[in-house]
Amino acid sequence: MKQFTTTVLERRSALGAQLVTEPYETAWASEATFYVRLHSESAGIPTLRCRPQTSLDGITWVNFPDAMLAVESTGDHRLPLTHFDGWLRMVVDPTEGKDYTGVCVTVALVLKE
Amino acid sequence: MPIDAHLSQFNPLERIICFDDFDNGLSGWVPLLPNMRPDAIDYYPEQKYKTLWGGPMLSTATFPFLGSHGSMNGVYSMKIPSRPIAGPVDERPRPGSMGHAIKRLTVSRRSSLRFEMWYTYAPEHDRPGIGEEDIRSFGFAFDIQDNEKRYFAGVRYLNSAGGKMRRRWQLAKAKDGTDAEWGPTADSTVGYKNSKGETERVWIKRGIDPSWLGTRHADGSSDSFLDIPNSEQYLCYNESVDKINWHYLSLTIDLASRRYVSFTTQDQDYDISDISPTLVDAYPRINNLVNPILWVETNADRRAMLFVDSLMVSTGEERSV
Repeated sequence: MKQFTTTVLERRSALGAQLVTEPYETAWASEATFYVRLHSESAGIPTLRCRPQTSLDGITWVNFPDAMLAVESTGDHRLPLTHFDGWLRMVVDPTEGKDYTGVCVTVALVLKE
Repeated sequence: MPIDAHLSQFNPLERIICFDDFDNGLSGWVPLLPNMRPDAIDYYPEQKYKTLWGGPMLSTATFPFLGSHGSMNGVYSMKIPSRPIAGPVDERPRPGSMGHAIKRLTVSRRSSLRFEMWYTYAPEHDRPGIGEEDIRSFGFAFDIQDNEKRYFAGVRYLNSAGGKMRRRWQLAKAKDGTDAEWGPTADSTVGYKNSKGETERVWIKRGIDPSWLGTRHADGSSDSFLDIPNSEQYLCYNESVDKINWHYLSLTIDLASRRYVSFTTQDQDYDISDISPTLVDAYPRINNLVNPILWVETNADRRAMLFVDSLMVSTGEERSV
């Protein structure tokens, strides 16, 4: 049987400043998918730029050159990854100067081996 | 007869309920989250802070200069981290300043119940220094309910508090006081309907959730834990953050009498049979619940981490040797 786990890293977290998920250890998995679920009363919102990062030690972080998720609408948005190392986290950057009142995100990490 | 090296690291009672070696997944250990309110897919506002406790993950115990420690019996242990947030020692823990993991079981027989584990602990290796003082405490408890009473039976290592190393073991037991002094008395779940058809209110009563509730004091003592006499113990923290040594712990309780029985840490055995946990009336819908819970609390704005190589829950009588 495949190994599998879903971990919810942020639950309905408010947006304003940059949001960085807590480090999560991923050494056992070869596939990962980040889910960013946007909760909002309005269907469209100013763009959220979501960047996954990986790490050697869970302390110093490295971007993936081509991985970025632009989130502009409510619902689920997914970003699959391979060739990551011992840790993953997600950095969510709101667009500077925009109002995110009433908008929040749930971020989950799906891991498979 | 061949010796099972892994099993022989434990001393279980006659019937093994769980033997979790984290080389094969998390075996049902999950984050500790509050109950959902009945009117929304959301949490009760007064309990939302619990969603920030760190949760369990499979860890290679990797450090920046050492590389991977792995675990005592393989590659992976279960790691429970806090967030890098600490509050004053005489206040209740800040949201995120603890990590918790819980497994959800039910009782199979009303006899003795034993929890054993091989564990270690370390702060995140993000700064120079020994770092020992940056871990406030870690611990284990059973959350138990039979048909009449609910209670928490657990043990905590108070490592560092109020600027001093404390290094002593404590048992979960609430000192006298009121529910309001213990924690928020807002609704925590949906009660049963009473004979008048009204839904009864339910809140967290004195003695429940001792890892973070109860008044705390500047020396690290609290209304939720009682010192085990003569229990000062120097654990093997080692001389650098990235050197971790695996330790043994065992706690035995008796479900029939609702009392503590014995506690073993390394080479120290304690008879704690004259102590009973704090009993409260049964909560709705959790009859026969037996939930083992592990936690760690940081003492600085730095992640504290508890690693568990493997653990065992067993029940029944002592095995004959």
